[in-house]
Amino acid sequence: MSLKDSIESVKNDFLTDFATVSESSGTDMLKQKYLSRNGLVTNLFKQLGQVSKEDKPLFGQLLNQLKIELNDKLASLNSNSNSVSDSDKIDIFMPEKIYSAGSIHILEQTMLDIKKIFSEIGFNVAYGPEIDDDYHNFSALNVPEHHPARDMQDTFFIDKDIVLRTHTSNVQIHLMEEEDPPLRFIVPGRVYRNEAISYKSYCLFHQVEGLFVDKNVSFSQLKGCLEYFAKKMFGANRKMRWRPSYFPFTEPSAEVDIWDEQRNQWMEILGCGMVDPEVFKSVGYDTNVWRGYAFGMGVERIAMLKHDIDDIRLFYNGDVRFLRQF
Amino acid sequence: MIVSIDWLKDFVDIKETPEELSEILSSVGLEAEYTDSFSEISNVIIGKVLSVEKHPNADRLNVCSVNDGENNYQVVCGAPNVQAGQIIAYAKVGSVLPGGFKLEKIKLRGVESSGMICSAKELNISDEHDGILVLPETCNIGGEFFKEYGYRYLNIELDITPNRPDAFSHYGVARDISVILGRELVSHSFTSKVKEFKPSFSLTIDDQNDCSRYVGGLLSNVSIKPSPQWMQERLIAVGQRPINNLVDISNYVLMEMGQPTHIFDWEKVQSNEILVRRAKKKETIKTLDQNSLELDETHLVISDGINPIAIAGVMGGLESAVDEKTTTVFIESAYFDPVTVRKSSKSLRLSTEASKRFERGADPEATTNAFWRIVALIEKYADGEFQGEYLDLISNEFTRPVIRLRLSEVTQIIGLEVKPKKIVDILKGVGCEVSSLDDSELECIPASYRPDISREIDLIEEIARIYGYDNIPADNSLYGDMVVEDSDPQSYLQKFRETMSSLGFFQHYSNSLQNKMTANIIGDNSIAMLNPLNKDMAYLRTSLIPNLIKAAHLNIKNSIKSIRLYELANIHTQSGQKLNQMSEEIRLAGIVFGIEQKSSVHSDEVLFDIFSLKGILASLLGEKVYKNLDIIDSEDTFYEFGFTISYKDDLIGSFGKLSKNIFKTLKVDKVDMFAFDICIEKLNFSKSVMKFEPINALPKMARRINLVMDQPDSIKPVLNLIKDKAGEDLIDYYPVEIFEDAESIGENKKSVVFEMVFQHKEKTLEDKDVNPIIDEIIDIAQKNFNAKLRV
Repeated sequence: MSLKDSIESVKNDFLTDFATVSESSGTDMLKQKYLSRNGLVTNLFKQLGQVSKEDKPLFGQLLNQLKIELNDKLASLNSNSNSVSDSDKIDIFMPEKIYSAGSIHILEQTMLDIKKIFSEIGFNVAYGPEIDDDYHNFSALNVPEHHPARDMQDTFFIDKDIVLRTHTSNVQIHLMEEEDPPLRFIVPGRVYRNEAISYKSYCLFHQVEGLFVDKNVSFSQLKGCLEYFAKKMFGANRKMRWRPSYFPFTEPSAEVDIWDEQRNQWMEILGCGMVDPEVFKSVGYDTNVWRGYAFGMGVERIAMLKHDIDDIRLFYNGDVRFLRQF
Repeated sequence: MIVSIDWLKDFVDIKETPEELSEILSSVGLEAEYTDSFSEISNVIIGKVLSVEKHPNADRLNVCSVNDGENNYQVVCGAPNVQAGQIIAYAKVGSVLPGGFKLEKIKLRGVESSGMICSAKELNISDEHDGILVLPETCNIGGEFFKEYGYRYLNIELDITPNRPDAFSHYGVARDISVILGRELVSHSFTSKVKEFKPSFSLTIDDQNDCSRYVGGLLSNVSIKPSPQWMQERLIAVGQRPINNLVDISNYVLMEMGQPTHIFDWEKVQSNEILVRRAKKKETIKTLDQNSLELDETHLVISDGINPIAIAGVMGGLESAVDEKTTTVFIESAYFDPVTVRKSSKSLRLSTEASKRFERGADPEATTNAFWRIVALIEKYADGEFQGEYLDLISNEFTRPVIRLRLSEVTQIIGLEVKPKKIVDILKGVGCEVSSLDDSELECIPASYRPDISREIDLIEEIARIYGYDNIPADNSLYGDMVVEDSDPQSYLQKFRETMSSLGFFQHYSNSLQNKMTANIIGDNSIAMLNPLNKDMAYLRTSLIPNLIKAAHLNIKNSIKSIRLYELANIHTQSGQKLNQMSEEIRLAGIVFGIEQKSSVHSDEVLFDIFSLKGILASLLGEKVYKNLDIIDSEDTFYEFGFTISYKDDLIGSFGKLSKNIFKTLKVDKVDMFAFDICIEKLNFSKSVMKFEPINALPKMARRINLVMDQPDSIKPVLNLIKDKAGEDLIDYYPVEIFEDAESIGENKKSVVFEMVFQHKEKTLEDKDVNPIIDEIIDIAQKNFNAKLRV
């Protein structure tokens, strides 16, 4: 049999074999039979040495074509599955490819929770400026100049009369200037304090202010509202206590503590009270008709308490080891 | 402000523990914090020093004999003030001092010493550690230190809000306690025994708005010495440092009654004229704290007619200060205007115990009471003599406001009807004069020590405060009795939707009605309609995957080369014909097809494969769940090859490459497509709050081992081995490199490099901590898994 016939014969044999072989399992067998060290195609190459010099290029070309053809065919069998899709070969315990999903910041998540809880009991959400005048941040809120109450909040001044707001309470005044009563708003936002940075205080933090103005509003309703909030935020069984306190813009004023099992102590979560008549006077509300309550809570403090976070700086330093935990 | 419990007991009966007292004070608005500084001290008793002899080998040490009531002990003591006869606090061998310091029998320079004679610092009383604490003779030798003596230092720290100057003293705090507990408040009034006054000095007030009242007087023949021990103890208990009898008396009255006073050395005052005036521009004064200050018109000063001798309400001058030679003193007890003092203190950046009280508003009527209290104390403890040298100058008569209180407004603001009798009791308790105008209104005149009460709302606050915020019911009419713990039980799903979006998946919503073949693609358990629209929509789906495949195909037809789709929806199955045998379950399923990463100038094309799914699941399930998954081969015909995943022995889903059967069933062309299917309800951890785990900043240590294994063997046994043996410091482990080469490592062999990362929670790891672990792992791997370490 001439080499040319042999090539044809091997090719036909292969095509016959190929037709009977299914899917990938037969690939190895065919590779072994035709293309391995002692395979049929390899043997044909060995015969090339006995061919005359002038015929060599032609047969060489034919043989190469045959080899490429066989490889292509075999590859086509494999093509339905790429290199790792052969179930026998997959070691599923090889590591996963990295898909790194990000996360929503825990402060944002906490703020969303707070907004959701208050929206359930009919509060709208409003926003206000972080840079404000002394009037809206202090005077209109019954904090006159030269009053010791100003010591309660260390203030960043931009100008003699312009401050970075020290609380979201400034938005109380803006809201009441713009809208007639009744009102029911919460105001989330960033506030600033001129305080040294440490594990427990930062030069800025976030507050959610609440303002409820209506005709018949009482301290008892304020308690109802904030107990609803605390139960939803911290669970119905958390111990809570109400302490008299002092804020110039509310009277009576209170602070609310939540019992912290972890630290075995009371932790303050918010300040609140009945809107002081002086505040209503500064926005021109009739104090004989309208009464209200207001509250303000620190978002960081709530998140720290809820998730056992022990250092406020973690919120702001962008450490992925922190961010990815939530 | 720190208050001493022992001191409060002078004015009101207190039976409560310090903890209970703190709660009570907090409940009336005086935020209290009690830190028990004695709880960690044990086995310290009262002892007596019998003898003191020089240590034979050390100049500064003494060898003392201490009696504990029964036996004598030899104690080496380094304190310079130790003397025979002293009653002292003796910490016996075995006792524990602050900081967990436990005493043992030791030898000091060759002399045996049993126990220790304590300083105030060692007993958590003050920072004083220059010498030992000498106790009063009255202490019972052998008695327990705390019971005999230490209790005097029990204190509570109060955070006084700016509206409560009345509570800035022991008497003020006692007043609140007496009102809230309904206990009698001991009267604390002082007047002169002398009735005729003939002052040899004059008093002038420039501006009545700056100073509405000034009380002054002279005492002669005073002798300067240390104040009595009980007074020193009380000052120490509230964090003050005793100086001498006169200074201590002034401080004592400040802490006791809240009225700041000042004592001048009258010999050093240049004239007999005391003038309260504004400072002149560029006028200077050297204050008690040795600072020279330049003053201007902002500052109110006391002058001797020529120079300022004190900054009014802030600090006295050094030149007129009391010293050991002082014999005649001038006592000032005045009322200075809050805003004036505040401006002065702010501009000088000088905040003192006096300025804090004046700027909040002192009691305009407390001036004489404090003055006569001081006089009495100086007479008793500094031998001073009062001879009628006294002036009380009222420049501006103080008038107390008259406030009408509507009972209806009390009810409106508090939201609770408080009985009129209770209202009257509370208001009288906080010092108001109360009279009834009629059934609906009261007239109240607040006490002079309550400058914060001037309006109706201020009275209502007092009523609410003393009534107790906790006793005011919460009006929940806004939402009724019902508080739903979780108003949306499916809110937890949002987090998964967000993760899927961030992984590049599009959310799919598809028809839940399918034909019989498709609906029964997994088992024969789908629910059929009796009256289907048509037979292609006759069954409820039992899996989300078929519709995802169809959607993928639509996109493939449209030449989309890379597809990531997921659906989050209910599936329905039945185990029988009855309603309670039909079940509904939320599933999250997704598919990926084609190109995971397009080829570009930066990288070659990457196709989705089974490890893409693992990566997606890792992000979706979160690190905690993913790292603890059990992955087992799935028998499911759904997959050409697939795996089930379980978490804590609970099957939560599966993933794999879709089999050609499913494509056949759906009558679409087979392509390489990978899918996952998760029982998402089992991943609802929303009820347990995420807790922050402290970040470990200690260095990590990574180690690699290279094992040559049989090619077909899974790496799982090696991973399990590492996990089992590496201990709790192992924070991560994974294969980093796989290498096959018949020539260098042999036929049917693979070389796998495993990396292990270690990190300790408290210390920096060293080689010696990790090496034995690595050796053991290699040893077992070689024995059990036919693996060889490749060097």
